[in-house]
Amino acid sequence: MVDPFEFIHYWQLAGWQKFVRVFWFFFLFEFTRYVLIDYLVLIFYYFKRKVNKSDWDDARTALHLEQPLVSVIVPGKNEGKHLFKLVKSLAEQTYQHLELIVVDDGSDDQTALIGRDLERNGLINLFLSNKVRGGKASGANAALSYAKGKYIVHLDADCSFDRTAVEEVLLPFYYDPKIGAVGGNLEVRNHQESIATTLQAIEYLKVILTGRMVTSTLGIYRIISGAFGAFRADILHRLGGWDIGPGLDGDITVKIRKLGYRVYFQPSAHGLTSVPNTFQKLAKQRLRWDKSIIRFRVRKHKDIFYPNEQFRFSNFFSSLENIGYNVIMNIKWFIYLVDIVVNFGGLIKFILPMNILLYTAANFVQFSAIILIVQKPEEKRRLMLYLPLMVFYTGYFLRIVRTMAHIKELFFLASYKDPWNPYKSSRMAKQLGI
Amino acid sequence: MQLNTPIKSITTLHGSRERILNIESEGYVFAYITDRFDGEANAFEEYDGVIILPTSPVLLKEVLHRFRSANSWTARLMPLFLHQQMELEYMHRQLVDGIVHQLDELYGAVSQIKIIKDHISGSRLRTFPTYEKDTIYKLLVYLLSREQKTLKAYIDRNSSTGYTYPILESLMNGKTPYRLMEFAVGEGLFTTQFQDSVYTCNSCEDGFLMYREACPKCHNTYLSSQDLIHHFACAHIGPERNFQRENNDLICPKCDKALKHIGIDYDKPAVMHHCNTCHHEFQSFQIVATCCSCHKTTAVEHLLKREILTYHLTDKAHTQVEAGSDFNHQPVQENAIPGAVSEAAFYLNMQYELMKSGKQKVLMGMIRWEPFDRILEKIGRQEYHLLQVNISDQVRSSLQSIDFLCVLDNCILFSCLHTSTELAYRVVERTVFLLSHLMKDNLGQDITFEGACLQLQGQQDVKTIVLEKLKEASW
Repeated sequence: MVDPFEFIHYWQLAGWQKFVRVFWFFFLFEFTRYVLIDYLVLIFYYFKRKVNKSDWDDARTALHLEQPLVSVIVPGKNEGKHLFKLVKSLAEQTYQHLELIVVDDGSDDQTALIGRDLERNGLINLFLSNKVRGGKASGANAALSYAKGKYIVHLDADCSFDRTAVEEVLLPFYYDPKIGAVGGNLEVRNHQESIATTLQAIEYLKVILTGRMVTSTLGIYRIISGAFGAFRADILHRLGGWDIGPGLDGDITVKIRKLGYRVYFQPSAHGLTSVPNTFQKLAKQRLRWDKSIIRFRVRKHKDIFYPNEQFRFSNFFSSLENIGYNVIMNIKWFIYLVDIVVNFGGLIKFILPMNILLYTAANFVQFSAIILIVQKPEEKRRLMLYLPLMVFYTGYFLRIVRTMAHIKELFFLASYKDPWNPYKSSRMAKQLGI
Repeated sequence: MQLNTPIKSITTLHGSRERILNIESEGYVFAYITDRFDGEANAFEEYDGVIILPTSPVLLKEVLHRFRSANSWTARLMPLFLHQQMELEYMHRQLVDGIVHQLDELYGAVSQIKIIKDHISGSRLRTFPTYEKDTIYKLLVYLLSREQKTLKAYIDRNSSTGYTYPILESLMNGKTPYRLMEFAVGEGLFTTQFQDSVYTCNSCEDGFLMYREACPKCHNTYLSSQDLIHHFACAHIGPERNFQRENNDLICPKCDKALKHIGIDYDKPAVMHHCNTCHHEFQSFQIVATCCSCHKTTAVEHLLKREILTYHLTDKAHTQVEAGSDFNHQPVQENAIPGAVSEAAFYLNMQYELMKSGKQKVLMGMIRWEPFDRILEKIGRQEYHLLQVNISDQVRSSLQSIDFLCVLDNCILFSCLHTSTELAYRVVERTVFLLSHLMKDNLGQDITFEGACLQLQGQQDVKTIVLEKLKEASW
């Protein structure tokens, strides 16, 4: 354990040049991207939103005048226990011209009974029960086949939504006709359940709320969460719906972008979702998510970087930012680690605590911005107590999981063996190289 | 045995004269007729028994029914025997007292007559002013005179519920006996035992129903079905017709690849049904039943389930028939709401309260629910009655013991006596709130409640004011 006085004295003597040399990774990538750019873009976002307020009001009026039918589709396996809560949540929506289509993707519990009962009682418009599991994409596509709405809202059954969520997620379509898909804002419902869920709650606020507001404003928003996203039905039909996952959310977003449509993040479309409550379950989930970056961004949609007639700079930067900050940064972080060990090996006892201090300070600065924009900020302040742990969570835990995922996918095509997707589909996808 | 031919002729229901054979045995005189006989049963009062020669089941049933539904005690309780070689059909066991194989051997019949007469002499034959009590009493006397301690239901395709209690059918002229028997059980005259259960129409209680699969949306039965196909390679899923091409090939409409091998390229995870009338697509049929009697089509979950019971006479039934004593309770009128007064009684009581109060205001509440017609159509009259009872119970729980209420088709009227105006309004408001939530959660369909409070004073006519209020579109 380093003596605090010795620690302060060391960094006083080291001078700012050495400080920047040691923490170049932080200043060059992390601080610039996640603090500096975030702040600037958020200020721009709110300025723009205020300037265009009347356009947003007009969008709301247009939505209510047209009253389009909206198909809410909910594919899933063994989600029966969540269905009643979900239909109740939808019954409270301010926008009510909805049809609810629930797909039971080969459940082996009581889902079919529950869903059928809700359908019989008029709480679900169409309940499709597939006896054989086909995977999330096929479930969503089954619902899409029978959806009659002008817009499709894709939800996860274990989510619940603010009363205005559906209305809010539809508004961007009336604000800008070039918008083809809109992502909703999800926060963690079970954030008090365990330390793992608390840290994820902070992460969701950083990555989903702030991160997606920033990427959306910059025009490089790249993933519409399957848990809450809205799509123009005509675009989905043109694309033939979702392709095989995992990572189908990101995949469909890229495909929509490739068609030339904009995708938009709507922070006011607010919902809650449950997240894994142990680090073990979380690691499993993230391994799946991170593998999909390699499979879809790096392999399937690599043509986004080609200078062909469909080339668009926004798409190029969208994927570049994603791959850069996930894959390349990860590699660079290990290079940085080697650099520190090789060049400053004897100074680890000074570097490590300073590293934690820097990242924690950056987290506090970033979270201050979140507190300004988030719903119920008084509840979120409690999370600040856990910010020091975020250094270990994002800096070490998630980074290690991510690295493992990338290696597994790059060298062993592990996503095709993921039981999340049925073997029959993965086998065929692997055979076709998709 | 003496056989005299003929000793008597009787004018039939059709005005013709019909001859009856007279048979005497051991001092007992039997009339011998065929089941073609269509005269009055009361014409046989001077006989000790009647022997019937059956020629057809329909005619036999008719003639037996004529005896057992006769007005006079003697004709109704007349010992009846069939002249045939076969065993008694199960249906006739409740109505007939035995079989006569040969007309010169009537010992069995005579001894049966003695037993019956003995029992009848021990019973007090009386009548009751109400239909229910009178019918039950007739049933008791009949069963006891035959030493039948059990009243069993028999399957009968001619019965409206599919089951019949032959003696009850005769005594009640074909009306359904279930409510009457509930009253008898309530009186302690019978105990019950489960025999079977049947579904009946919720409108007319008829048991002859035609079951079909129907579209859950428009209830039409013109349907077609098709498999759903899931193409593994691109995760596309849709009805088989979207994959079919002219040459019988299956081509994925999303990625244009050929589907060749089930289990390798594709599978069929589910079946979809298509309504050819409204084009609704669905997986779960609605099973509907159309009543052959009233032609109403009902979803099977809204049919009435009726338990068919076997009834066993109790000792109390013996005592009651021996003493001829009255019943303990009054039969409940059909569709009566427990604890509610009739509409006329309500207006009368309110008018009386108004008169008593002098210049003081008298308050009453009204709660109305909609859509009356659609709810009634959907759930049927029996379940609707239960709904009215539930609403009435809920309203009753908000009132004081001195208050009274009455239930109309889709409205409930209740007094709010000795209550402040503010409190009466609060009672109406709270009850409407509770009912709305209760029914929404439990009935699972849209039912809206609205309430009103009326302040009555002086010489006002309560009925006129209430009817005026009921005409208002919204309160």
